[in-house]
Amino acid sequence: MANAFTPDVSRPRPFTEEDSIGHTRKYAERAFGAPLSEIGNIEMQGTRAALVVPVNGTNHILHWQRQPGGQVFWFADGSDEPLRIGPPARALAALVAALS
Amino acid sequence: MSLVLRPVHKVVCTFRDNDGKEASTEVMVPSGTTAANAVTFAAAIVPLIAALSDATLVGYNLILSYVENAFSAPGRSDVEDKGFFNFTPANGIRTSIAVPSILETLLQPNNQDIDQTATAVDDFITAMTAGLSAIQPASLSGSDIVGVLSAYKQNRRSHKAGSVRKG
Repeated sequence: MANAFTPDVSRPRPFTEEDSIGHTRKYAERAFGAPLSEIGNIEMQGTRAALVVPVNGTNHILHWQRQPGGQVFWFADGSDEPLRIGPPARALAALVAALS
Repeated sequence: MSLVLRPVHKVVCTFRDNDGKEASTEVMVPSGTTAANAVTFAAAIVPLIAALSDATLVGYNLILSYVENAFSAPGRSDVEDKGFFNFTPANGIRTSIAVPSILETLLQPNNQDIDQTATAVDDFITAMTAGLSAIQPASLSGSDIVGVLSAYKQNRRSHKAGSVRKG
């Protein structure tokens, strides 16, 4: 049985590709407190957009997932463990450290 | 069943007098008018109406109405059981939406909090907080909605359709 926090990237959604890219961009910029150009880039994977973050020459694939209480958690490279990135002011540095 | 456009759009003008009382009047335009043209028409007709009154025009609304053409309500539905979504806009001044007759299947086991991982809820919140069709929903003050603070079921009284309020 899949972990409750496992991002479901195959679920059909009522959003266009453009919507999905826009959602991921906005959530990424809010979570990591920086413009997308400083975080990475976005590409479609199935019906959902993925955040691609290059760290030390490796491209890491991130997806976001809403939790029952409303928080948006980020997951890297298929892991079912959410990234612990802290508040936006420190989140980008925490992300790079977590992916290094 | 389907939602169909009413035959007319409405321009509703609201006036306030020196006693603080308000009254409204409506101008109808055919629903074949595009939304953009209706906006242009409203902006042009409203000053002409205001020029006929010595009350103050305090605002106007342009309403494009869609109505259900074959109504039937599921037996369990109850519009007084509302799903409250409290959103946080960028300026921090909260705004909320109350969805009538929230589906019981969308509630968490405590039968009060809304499960924000449920597909329908997740999709709605995503559209509200991150936009849909390149439009970002906003609060009354025009600030972008950026998050959801809480979502829960609450019972609140509603008026029955077609009922007349007695003075």
